[in-house]
Amino acid sequence: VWLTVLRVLTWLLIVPCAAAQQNAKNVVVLSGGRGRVSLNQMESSLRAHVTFPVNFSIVDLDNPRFDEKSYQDNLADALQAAYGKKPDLLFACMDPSLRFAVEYRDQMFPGVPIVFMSVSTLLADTQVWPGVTGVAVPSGAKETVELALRLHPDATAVAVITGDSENEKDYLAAVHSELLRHRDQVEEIDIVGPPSGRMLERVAALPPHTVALFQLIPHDSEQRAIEAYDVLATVTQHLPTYSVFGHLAFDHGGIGGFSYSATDDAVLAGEIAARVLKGERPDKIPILHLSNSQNRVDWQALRRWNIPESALPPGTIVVNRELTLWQRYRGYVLGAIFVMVAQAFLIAALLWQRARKRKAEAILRESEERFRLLANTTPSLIWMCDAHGKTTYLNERRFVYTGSDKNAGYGDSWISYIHPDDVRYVSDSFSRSLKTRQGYTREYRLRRSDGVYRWVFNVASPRVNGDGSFAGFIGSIIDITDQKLAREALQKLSGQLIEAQEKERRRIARELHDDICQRLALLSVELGQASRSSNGPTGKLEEIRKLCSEIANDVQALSHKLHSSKLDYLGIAPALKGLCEEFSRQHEVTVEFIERNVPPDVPQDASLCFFRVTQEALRNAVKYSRTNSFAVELTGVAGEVRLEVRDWGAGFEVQEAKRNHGLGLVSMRERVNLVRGRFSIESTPGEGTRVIAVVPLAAQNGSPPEELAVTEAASQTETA
Amino acid sequence: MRRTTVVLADDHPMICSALRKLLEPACEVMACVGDGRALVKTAVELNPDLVLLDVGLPLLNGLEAGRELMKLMPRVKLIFLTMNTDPDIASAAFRIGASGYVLKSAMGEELLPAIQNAIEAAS
Repeated sequence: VWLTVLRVLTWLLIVPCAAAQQNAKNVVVLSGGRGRVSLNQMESSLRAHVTFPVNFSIVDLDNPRFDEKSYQDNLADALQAAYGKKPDLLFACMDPSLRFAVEYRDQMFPGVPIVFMSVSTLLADTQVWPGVTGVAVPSGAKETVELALRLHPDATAVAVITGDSENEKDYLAAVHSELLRHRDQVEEIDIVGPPSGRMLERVAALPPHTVALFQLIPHDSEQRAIEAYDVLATVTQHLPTYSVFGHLAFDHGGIGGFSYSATDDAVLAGEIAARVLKGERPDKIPILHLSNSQNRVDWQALRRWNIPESALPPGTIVVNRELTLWQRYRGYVLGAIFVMVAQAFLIAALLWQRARKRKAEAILRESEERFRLLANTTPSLIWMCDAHGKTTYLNERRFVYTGSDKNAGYGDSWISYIHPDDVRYVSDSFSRSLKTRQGYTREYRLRRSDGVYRWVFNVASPRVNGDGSFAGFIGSIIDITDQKLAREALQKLSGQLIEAQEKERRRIARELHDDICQRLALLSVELGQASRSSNGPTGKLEEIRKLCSEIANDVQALSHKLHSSKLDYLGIAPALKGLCEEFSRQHEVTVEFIERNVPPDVPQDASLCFFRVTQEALRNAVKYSRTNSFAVELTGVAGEVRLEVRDWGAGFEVQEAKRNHGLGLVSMRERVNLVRGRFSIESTPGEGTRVIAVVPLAAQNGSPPEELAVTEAASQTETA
Repeated sequence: MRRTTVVLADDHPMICSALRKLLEPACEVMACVGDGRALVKTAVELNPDLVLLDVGLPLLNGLEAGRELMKLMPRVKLIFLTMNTDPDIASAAFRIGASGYVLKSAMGEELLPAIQNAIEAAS
């Protein structure tokens, strides 16, 4: 008795939470051994269908004692005491709870509606109680018996192992009536009673070809030496075992049996409870019969008893099926396949990449080959340097040109092949080019393999990396010594020509003046004496003398025209002054002569140059300017003498003039070049012309032509 | 009265001999040289009263040689005898101290009077 009290106290502890909610509806749940999962499903289904709060009080009933009258009385009293105010709903799970609820309702909570779930049709359909409704589940007796006999057609007996509670008796009766229909085929052996050693012995003694129907309900609180599960273990060990409580057969070695969806049961019962709580009368709600129930069998047990799946009635669910290799290792297999496919892709990609690289390399090689062929067949010396100016490549011709040493010329060693006088200019300008990264051209002397320094012309262009950065220079060098010599020879020749012409003019002038003139003069003197001393026809002689004198004057004038004696005797300034006056007279124009700071010692060749340039310029001015006013200015400035001949006339296109009637211009330029001077013509159509010649005094006859050529070359290339 | 001493400078032997013939009655021709340098050297050696020279002389032209002589022997008389009719040259000759400038074509009439004038001006 004290145990009972203890249990009641246990659930009373749950009650306070029921009082917490004031407007809440109270539901007392008689669990009847139903699992928490089902109860929770029912609870959430109920709550989902009502808007008000609901308090649940769950009472765990001890099923095996339910048949004891005293236990039920005690329980009823305890519940009534706990709920002074009666609950809004009594919820009963499983058959015993419903039996208790309907029996004690009037005593505990008169008029309280009852909703049930998981109650078999064996109880639910036997009678109608007022204010009671719920979900009824099939007993499964018919289905289980038919399943067992179908799978064991050679069975001769069916052993029904069951308990002696009212509930169990109902089930035994249901099975019995089923088996009666098969009494021709099988014998029914009932083993009834609480689990005991005797029961085990009887089970062990069952004949072969017996099928067991196990419906002994195990109870958690049983305090026996031999429990229902011990009996079940013995039964399943010896016989193919089925159960109307399908779940008992599974996990304990049985083959299977009837079962229904516990979830449907709970959810539907929750819905019905909600309807009742909302005020619907339970009598108006018909009892719901769970329809989608079926047999379930254990796959492993089927194998154990050699039952083919094909023998199963349609709709049977096979559970605990051993997973196939595919099912078991699907993840691994898929993973492995994925890895293999990925690898295959990777390999294919690598192969493709390699093929592409090879192709690119082949193209590169071919291009390289082509470059080398080109570089080695070209007549130039080809070189390449990196961004720091270190030589990295030289073509074969370069080695042939500078000598047999195959290493010389790389890095910075190329400098050692350059003429000592040019080294500074070349290396300075090279480092400048490395900074500016601009292409350039340069002339300098390079040592040939025979030790002779040759003039070369070097053209270089910047190289660019793939990313656009500066990679260095590539350049080609050609030997221009012969061209240079030819150019110099040409210059020398034109100088010599001018000199020769001048010499010849002077010689003729002198010849005329000094010889012919003198002799004519003498002749006229002689004639004079003769005319004075003789008594003959003096008039005639005098006439001859005059004629002779005239010839002498003409020859003298001719001589002067060819070469100005004044230039020789008086120097450039008086000579130019005289020239200007003479020119003014001859052409009836105005030639103004201005002289400033002209040094007295202007060399003869420079003087002659100025004189001839003035002559030519004035002749051109008279011819083309279409004016009659000119100016000649000679100025000495800082070691130089500057001549300017100008007019304010028509002017002309300098380039045009150079092309067409340029001989006069060319000869003027040549003369000035000959004395190392600078020559220029400035002219604009309509604005007159200036001819300018500047000749240095100091550098006269100074440096040898070779040296000068270096400086000229250097200045040329720098401006280029 | 002592005859006037003269040194001649002309690079034409024909002129030289013609001058000798022309001058001998009045003057003593001490020497006849053919270039400017020889003239300076000879004139300094012989110290003549008068030097008769051409403008156009080899090695050292008449104007230069005359300038040199006037520096070395300021008392000597210079008379240029030339074919050159250029007035600028003539004035250059007078600037260096020449006593006369006679054109060769007119020497038959003008040379002796010119010498006469030069000597008389000196004494």
